[in-house]
Amino acid sequence: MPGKIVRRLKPEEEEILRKREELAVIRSTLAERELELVDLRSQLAAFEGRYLRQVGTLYAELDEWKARVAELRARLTPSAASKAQAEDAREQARQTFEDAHGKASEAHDFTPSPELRSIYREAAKRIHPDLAIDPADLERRTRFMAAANHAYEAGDAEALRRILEEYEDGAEAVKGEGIGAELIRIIRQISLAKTRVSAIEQELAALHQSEIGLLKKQTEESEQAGRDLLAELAAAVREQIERTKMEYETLAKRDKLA
Amino acid sequence: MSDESQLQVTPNASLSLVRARSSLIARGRRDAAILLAPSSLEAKAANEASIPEGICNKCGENRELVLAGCVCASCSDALDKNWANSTATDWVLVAFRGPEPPKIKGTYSRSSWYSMVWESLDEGAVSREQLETEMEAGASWLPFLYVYAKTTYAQMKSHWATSNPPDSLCIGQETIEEFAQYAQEDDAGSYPYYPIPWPKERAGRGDVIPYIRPATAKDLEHHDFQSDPDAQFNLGKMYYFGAGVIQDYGEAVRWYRKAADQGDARAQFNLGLVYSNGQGVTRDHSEAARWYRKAAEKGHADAQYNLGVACCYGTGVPQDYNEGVKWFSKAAEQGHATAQFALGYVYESGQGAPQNSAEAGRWYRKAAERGLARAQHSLGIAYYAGNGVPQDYV
Repeated sequence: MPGKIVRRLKPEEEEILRKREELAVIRSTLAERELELVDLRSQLAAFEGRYLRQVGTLYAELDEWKARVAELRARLTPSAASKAQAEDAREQARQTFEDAHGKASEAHDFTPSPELRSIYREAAKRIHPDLAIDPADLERRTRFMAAANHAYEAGDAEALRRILEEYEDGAEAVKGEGIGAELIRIIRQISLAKTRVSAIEQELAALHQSEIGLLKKQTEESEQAGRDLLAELAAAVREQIERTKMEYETLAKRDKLA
Repeated sequence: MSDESQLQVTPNASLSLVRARSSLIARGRRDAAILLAPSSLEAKAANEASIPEGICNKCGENRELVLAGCVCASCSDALDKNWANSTATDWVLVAFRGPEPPKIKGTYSRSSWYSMVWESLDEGAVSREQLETEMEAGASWLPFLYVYAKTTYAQMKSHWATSNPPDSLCIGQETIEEFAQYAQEDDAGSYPYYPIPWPKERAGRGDVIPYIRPATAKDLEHHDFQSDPDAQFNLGKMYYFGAGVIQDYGEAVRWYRKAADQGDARAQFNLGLVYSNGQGVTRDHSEAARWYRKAAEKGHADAQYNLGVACCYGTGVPQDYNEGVKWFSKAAEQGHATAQFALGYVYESGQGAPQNSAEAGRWYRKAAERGLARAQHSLGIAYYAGNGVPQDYV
């Protein structure tokens, strides 16, 4: 009866197995969180784009009218104060216009396919810069991760897969010199990954608590109550625009009389 | 992966994307908070976390979006009930869009508190006349102060409700000055008049929830009184008695005179009184008599009596009993008890009219029936003596 020969593992080998397992777990957590973060970012960007298009442009219009009113006022009653007010209002209008019509307003909704998500998860697990073992590796991982993020945000599964393959092809097989060195490397990777996970969690919380995050939350909550917050906001701003226009017209009338 | 510039982006790209334009987003959040402010206590409970902080000025507890000088919805309801029983006859309602003036003349007028605000802000850059011209031109961006003079709370409310159905009424106590302050704090155009949470149905509409309180003398004063002797008279009275204002006979006289010059008999009479008493003016009996006469000629009973007295005693006018009796009779015919008594005395004593016990008794009785103690006494004597009335010891 052939006995099964089991090689007893040395303690450091056991330790390395345990640590590898731990690293694997933390890697998937990290990938999961990274995915969550990239999703939230793009959702917020998309929401911000919607907000800027729907409401921000109206604020820009409102500020434009306010600036015109202030300028007309300054003309009707010239003084240092009214002049300064007019200049401030004009600057504000310019700023608001820039903000409202900037690049951010172009962001649109995107819903990643499950396939895309799973590739990204895999890529994050493998490539993540926080798993780097030396500066050269870090640089390489950083580049690939950025490319992966970009491909994900663009919704390009094909590109993402290519990036992952390319990364794997060039992955260095160097495993260090001996078990001790590997153990140290794995421990360091675990620690870095953990740090990154908690950083991501903080960033997620910060994003949720940011103005845009809160506005998005409010919009979603009011949606459940059957309201369209952005549309209501737009209507409110439109009303203000009307009022400011009216003010402008009355002033203009006076200007003609004067 | 040829595009190297894309690779510059690190996965750690911070929140910069979100932080940019934060002011524009914060602005939306502020406005959204107003839109989302719950309209009922129930919604408030469900939405506790997102309620903007604010303390009700009355109960000091309710966390609702309220302004200084204003109160929360539940206190507002309570005040609403109280004021339904209020005897105040002058009310102020602040709103952007108002009802058309009602059919009943003289109960309602509209003016703009904003004129004062504007003048104070621009240091008189805009004259009141200019502003009024603009008001007439229909500058609807100005909120209005609707002064309901001589109107009960219920009348005012029903008028408002039928002409511009409000969802709820916010009732508070702030003064014009406080409003002016809001306007100054107002960051150049975002209207701060949200006295209570914005009702959902009205979300996005620019009109403010009507805001009601009893009118103060100041409100009434800022109202254009040139054409409204009723209001002028009321204001004079408020100053005379110190009702809601610091008592000031000079101001009272000023307003009485405005109304009196327009032929308001009550004001003419009161003006006569202040001349008789020397309140706010130098005592001048002839001036007093002059105003009594004007009011008396309009049928003002008190004025007729006072003029009668002046004629009898010759204060401010040549003494003339016949003239005095003429005025006593007019007042007495209107049921003026003191005049009836005086007339009884005239007939009893025969001064100013032939002595006539029966007439004297008749007038004494009338005055006595009106509860005038002196007349009851005189009537008692008459019964006792059997002068002009059947002798009756009972």
